[in-house]
Amino acid sequence: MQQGRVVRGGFELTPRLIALAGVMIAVVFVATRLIQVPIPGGYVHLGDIAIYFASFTFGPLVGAIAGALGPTLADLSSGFANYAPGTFVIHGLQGLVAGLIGWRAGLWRMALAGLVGGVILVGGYFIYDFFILRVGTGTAIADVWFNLGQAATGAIVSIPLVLAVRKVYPPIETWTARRVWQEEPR
Amino acid sequence: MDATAPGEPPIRFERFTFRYPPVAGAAPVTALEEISLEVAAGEFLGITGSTGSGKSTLCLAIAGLVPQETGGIVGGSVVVTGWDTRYTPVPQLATRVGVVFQDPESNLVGLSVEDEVAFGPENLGIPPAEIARRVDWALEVVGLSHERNRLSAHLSGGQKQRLAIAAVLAMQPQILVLDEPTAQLDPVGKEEVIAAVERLRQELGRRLTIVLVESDTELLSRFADRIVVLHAGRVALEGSPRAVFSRTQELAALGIRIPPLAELAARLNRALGAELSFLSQTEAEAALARLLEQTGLTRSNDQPPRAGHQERPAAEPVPAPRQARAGSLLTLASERDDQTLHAREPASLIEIEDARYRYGGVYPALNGVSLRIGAGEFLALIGPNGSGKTTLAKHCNGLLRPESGRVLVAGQDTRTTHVGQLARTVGYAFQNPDHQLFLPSVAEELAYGPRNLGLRGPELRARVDEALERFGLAELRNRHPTLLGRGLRQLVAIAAVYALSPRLLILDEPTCGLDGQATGRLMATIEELVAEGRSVLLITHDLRLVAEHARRVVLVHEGRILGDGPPRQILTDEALLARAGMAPLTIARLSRGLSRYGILPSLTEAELAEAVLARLAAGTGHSGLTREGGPG
Amino acid sequence: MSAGYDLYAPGDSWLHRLDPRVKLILTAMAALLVLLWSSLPLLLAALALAHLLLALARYPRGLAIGVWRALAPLLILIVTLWPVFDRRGEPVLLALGPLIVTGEALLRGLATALRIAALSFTLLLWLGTTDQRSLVRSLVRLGLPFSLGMALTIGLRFIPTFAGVYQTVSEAFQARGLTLPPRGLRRLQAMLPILVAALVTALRMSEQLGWTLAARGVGAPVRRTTLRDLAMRPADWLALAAGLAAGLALLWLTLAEGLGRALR
Repeated sequence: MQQGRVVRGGFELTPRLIALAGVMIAVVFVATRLIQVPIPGGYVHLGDIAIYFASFTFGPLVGAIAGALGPTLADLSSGFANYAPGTFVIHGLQGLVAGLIGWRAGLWRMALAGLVGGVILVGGYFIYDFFILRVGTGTAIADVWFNLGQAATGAIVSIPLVLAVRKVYPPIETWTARRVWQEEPR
Repeated sequence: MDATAPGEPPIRFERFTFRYPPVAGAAPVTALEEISLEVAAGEFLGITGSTGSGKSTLCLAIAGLVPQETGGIVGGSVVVTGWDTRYTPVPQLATRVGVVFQDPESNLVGLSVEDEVAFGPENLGIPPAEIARRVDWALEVVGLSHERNRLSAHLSGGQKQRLAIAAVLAMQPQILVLDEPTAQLDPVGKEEVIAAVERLRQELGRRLTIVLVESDTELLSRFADRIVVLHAGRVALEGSPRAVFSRTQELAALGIRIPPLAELAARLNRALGAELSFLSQTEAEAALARLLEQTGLTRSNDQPPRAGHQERPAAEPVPAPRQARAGSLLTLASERDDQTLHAREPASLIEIEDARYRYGGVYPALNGVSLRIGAGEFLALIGPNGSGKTTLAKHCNGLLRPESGRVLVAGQDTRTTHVGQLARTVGYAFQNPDHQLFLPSVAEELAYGPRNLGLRGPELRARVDEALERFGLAELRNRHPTLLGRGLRQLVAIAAVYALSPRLLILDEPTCGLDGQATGRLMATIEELVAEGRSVLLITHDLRLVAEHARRVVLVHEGRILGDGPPRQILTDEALLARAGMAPLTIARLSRGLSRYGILPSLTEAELAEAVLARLAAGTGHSGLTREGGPG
Repeated sequence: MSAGYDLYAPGDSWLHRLDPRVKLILTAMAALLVLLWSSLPLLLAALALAHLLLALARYPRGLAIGVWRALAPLLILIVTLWPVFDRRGEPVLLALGPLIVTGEALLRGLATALRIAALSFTLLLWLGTTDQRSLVRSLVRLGLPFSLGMALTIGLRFIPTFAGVYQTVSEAFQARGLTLPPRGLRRLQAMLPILVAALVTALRMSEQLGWTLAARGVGAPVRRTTLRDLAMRPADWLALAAGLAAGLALLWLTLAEGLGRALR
């Protein structure tokens, strides 16, 4: 091998996880920025659905990375840079916690994760709006309304989505597991 | 770096067996079985095989990705430059082996051209000055020096694959593994990549061992020192390209598409009892010229050959001779049934009148296209990437609507009719089957479309069963579509669109990822559909397929229709093809090269073989050939 | 066509050439100040300064207007909703039952909107003049683990790819007779097939990407080198020093002396 100091420790992901996290960042970005659906009283984007999908299928780590970076890039690239720092923390936490509760879990644990994630989302943005950006009570409440829609659709749609993908593409169940090979018995 | 042990071949498979880890409780899937194979230093090894033969797994095994990154069950060993791939970490193996995969998107990890090439050496801790030198060199070899600061997302498919090759070269491997690097490219991109590999060969000569996996056997026969044919995970045939490609019948049985020149040689050999063999066009031209000259034929072209010759008189009925117009001895599919077609003068299914379209209202894609497609037509849409083929096709089912001009689908204006409604008339199978598979069984996948159209109960079941049957998928009806091999996924996706029972079926590169056998079966099915009166619009880069099957060819270039006519008219018009940046068929070029011996332009191997045989017979009065009059 | 996903505009101004780490640190500093301020004139000045700097960097006007357009609904919302919850101050412009709109409340709403706009445009100074490569590189040099920097790079590169996949998948489903309801949960439900197929396609790509990464030596047990490392030029140090000094002075004035904390 080449000359060089051996680097150990620190935060390292396997190539497989790096690629997965990267692709999920792009997925969350596209879902946030480009896929929007009108609902009564406004519109929702699919970002939260994508974050829950990442958390429920690939766990807290990938969920947190995709959750933190995907929507932050979406904010930064759309002129809402003012929300980016909040988004980074709030959606990162949402992805992390949803993954801790709902990773490879059944319907009810996923629903619980969606609920907790929703609280983080709605509460987090309210705090950010009210205390950091100081946008005023009215706007902060309006944002609560928007985020409630996000949280609700995120949980309601992501659960059947996760179940459907598990059914359609079984390899996904062991996607993040370490790959081990064995010698064939002779 | 520690040097390779002397006498150790760069790659040695020793009774290597590999089974992928089981999915969803199923049994492990065997990909390679008892492979023993050695690749010599500096060798250019070509590997081919039908889909599912294990050729991609073989590539992964050389790089150590199998089994280290995939898991699974391993028997025997693969030793690469003395390193056992089971125990040598992949990053270390990467200093000796570079791999380029089929999908251009999955080969690139960096944002810009330069980043991409520098990435590998950076990971290996190479000093920056040395990296800079390698980047310059690698970009030079693949011809991307002037693009070094561009974003890789803005490159064409061919450029992306060349970039992937450069990225691997910068790691200075001793072995380069290319896994179908041109399979997803258009002819232009394909030639770019081939030129890069040729350049590499010149530059590095025997210092680089190359393993090229290809289903395009024509490409392999041009480059490889040796060919290995895999079948069901085992080595089925092995030898020099000349030796392997002369065994056409065995190859066909293994699902391999025979290179056109090999096919031509085989046909001539069968008829003449000769032992012709050509790998390149020049070689073929020289050999055929010698053959034709031996017979003492005059070089003049004043005596055109006549139709009606037959090797075995009265053995099988000859189709009505049609050389009066085409001058050919055999008829193409396009010439067999167009009589009836023209007699019918079909009502137009699709009517496009002066359609114009710009993407995002800015980028012009269609610049005034008019086209009519009738019932029962089998039409091929050809042209380089970015010519507007797909844009045009998407106008036929309302996915895109013209900015000006109009498109009528069975009389309905696409601007006022919903796409879902038009889906009853026009079915569109997209190129990548994964873009439409989403259900846990093949049967459900097929039922999805018709259900959208309102079919229920026994009617729906009958529709699904018929589609399954027609595409030979009946035994797979309960399997997971996403877990099937690429070729089968392609068939499921096409069948799922066919299940809508459309009057016009649009197929975008349907044979991409299919081997010779599957391609043959699919085309036979398509021919059936046409015979039953459905229309088919085939978008393809494969001109061989077009020559053999299509009845009408539409050549698109820069958003305009450059040519529209029977295959013989369009595909033999080299000037026309060149204007669209397309290369003619090998056989067409060859037949033109032989025109001084009175050989008329041919499109298929069968046709050219017949023409040569007829000419030989005309020259010698060869016993096996009778000379009846022409068609009068 | 990836232009729509990115506010970066290529150029060769001093702002473009400034070391991305310096740019990041200074914009963060400026953003913090703007966040702390409530003063209408000060925020107006900050916004004007940001626009001046953008103009000097020859940042395209179209992109800047695009940012204003994106922000507009939020800004209008802030200005209109502010008086509803803030009845302090004089003069009373409108009194409709419980709704009392005062001039001061309107000004406060305006100042808040300006703060949000100033924040966005301050950050645009950084985003609009730093290409994605330098962005990731600077984050890694400021301590982001390499794995994450790599994931971020792949994410950025994959955005147009996945957007294309999603688009094609939707078309493929429409061609199979899928008609999406116009809005609401029913539309979301009908989109499930599209999402499933797009996600499975993306996963297949991610698997091969992972192989590519491994085969390019990611995870080799050596210290990584970089072809083009960021290097601070004297001008960068100067800008950092001057910017930080000014920023810290303003911060001290703000926190200790109450600079810009009041409306006027």
